[in-house]
Amino acid sequence: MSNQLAIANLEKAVLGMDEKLAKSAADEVLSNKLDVVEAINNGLIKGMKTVAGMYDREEIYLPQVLASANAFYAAFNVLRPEMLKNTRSAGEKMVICVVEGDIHDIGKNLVKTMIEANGYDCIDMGRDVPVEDFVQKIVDEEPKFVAMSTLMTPTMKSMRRVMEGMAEEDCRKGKFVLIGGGPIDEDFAQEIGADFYGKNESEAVKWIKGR
Amino acid sequence: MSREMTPLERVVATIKREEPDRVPVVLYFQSAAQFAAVREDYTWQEMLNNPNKLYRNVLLQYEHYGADNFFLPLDFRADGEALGSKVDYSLKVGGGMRMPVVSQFAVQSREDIDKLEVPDVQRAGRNPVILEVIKKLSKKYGNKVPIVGFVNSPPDVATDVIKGHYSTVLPMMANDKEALHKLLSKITEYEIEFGKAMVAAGAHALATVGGGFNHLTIGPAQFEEFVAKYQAQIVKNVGVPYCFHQCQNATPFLDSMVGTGTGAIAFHELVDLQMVKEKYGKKVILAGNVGVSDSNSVMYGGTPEMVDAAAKKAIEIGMPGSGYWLSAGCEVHHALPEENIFALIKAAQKYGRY
Repeated sequence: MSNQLAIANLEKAVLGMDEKLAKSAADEVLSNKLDVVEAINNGLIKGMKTVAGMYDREEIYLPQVLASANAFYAAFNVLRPEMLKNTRSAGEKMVICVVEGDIHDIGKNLVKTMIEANGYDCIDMGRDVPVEDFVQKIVDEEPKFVAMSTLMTPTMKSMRRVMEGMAEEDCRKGKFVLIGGGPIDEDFAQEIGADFYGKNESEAVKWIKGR
Repeated sequence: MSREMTPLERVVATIKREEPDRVPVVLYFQSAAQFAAVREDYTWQEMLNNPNKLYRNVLLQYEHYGADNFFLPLDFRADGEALGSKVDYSLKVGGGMRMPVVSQFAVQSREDIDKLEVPDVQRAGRNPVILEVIKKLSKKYGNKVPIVGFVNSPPDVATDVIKGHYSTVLPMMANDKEALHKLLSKITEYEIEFGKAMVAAGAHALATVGGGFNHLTIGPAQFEEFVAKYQAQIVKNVGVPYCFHQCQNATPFLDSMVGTGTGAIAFHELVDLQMVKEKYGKKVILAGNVGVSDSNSVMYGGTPEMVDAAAKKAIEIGMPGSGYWLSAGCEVHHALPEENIFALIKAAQKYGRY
């Protein structure tokens, strides 16, 4: 199987919510020793970005997104060990979450995937993470990067609470905070004292690499 | 001045589109039952499983708070439990509450749906307790206060029945519809029979509170296919007045909700009451929608004066021409200041006179 066909099948599996096809296409990537990062990036992530766009435009809803995400992970879990094996460690750590009150985690997962693909150790706290738990993890892990995401306006306040919590715990210094998600913009990032707002995972990776 | 009506007369008048003495206050009184549990020093587990404790608590809805109805069961897990899931009361679920949560699901995988059996509604789960309490309420207040029995929305029950909760049921709506419809059909069959049993025990009406399948998770087509279709079967088969509440912003789903044949719809404060009154007010009874759910909502985060003002505004929109029940935008829950519940009920007495 060619790289192009395997990549096309990975994208097709995500768009078609087909876990079996996703897993078999991932197996093909490994058995044919194809480029794993390229397969993830141009197959799985490309498909998931299309799904995210359709969701943003309300052409599809959470059931399709979750079914696509299941296909994404059916393949990604096969490819991830190989990806990590071939990735040179950047020696730096990130703690990431979808903030308290929000369960939309597509964007966060894409950022996490690309961050890992670039050699960073990424501690994923998941979604709807209580502010106190997230701040405590930052205190415990001392990461260089802190990343937060939300898709909803009401839960933007959870980001502000995390920033306040970091100040209260005296753990803000020496860390870079990046935020993202549908309602977020640069003004909000500045308002709450975050260091960076990124529109997508590519911008996030590019910015992190420069730090 | 007209004679003071009983709550039952008041509510029946609105259903007949006649003017009652005043606007009724119809509430989904659920986790706020915890106030009394704390005062009397008993747990959720004791309250929900002991008919005498549950009866005493439900009585408070009318006798202590002054609502124009009784509403039970008080929690969302009764249907899932009756269908075979196990619940746990010892887990911490926000604020130290001890509401039941599912700890073991009746169906372990999609492939096991065929094995799920519809139980005997008289014996399943906590149903004997619920039915006994309805009988006692009926004996004391059956000719005076509406008794409303509650069944959870079928897809919400599905999340209590199949392992994985929403993470399983939501994707099934996209790529395993046949299996999900099979599960929803069994749940609906159960709910129709349990609804009938509650009516036979003395319930005057039934209600459904749809929760997790709302505008944040699904679209109108999915609401019609997985929520409204099954709700319509329940409404059609139980043969008593029905109230269908949908959480969050139900605006995209209102046509489907009304299309179920329900006699009343209830909705969150995100829905424009004025718009609903104009578009649906002649077709169904409207119940709503003073803010109660979010931390900045008036009943949750406001003062009694703010609740009074919000209720007055709702009454002014809803009451003309009858067919309106003053209600909170969702369940009356444990985090509300009690004085705000009293303020809501008092507002109907102050501003809701016909």
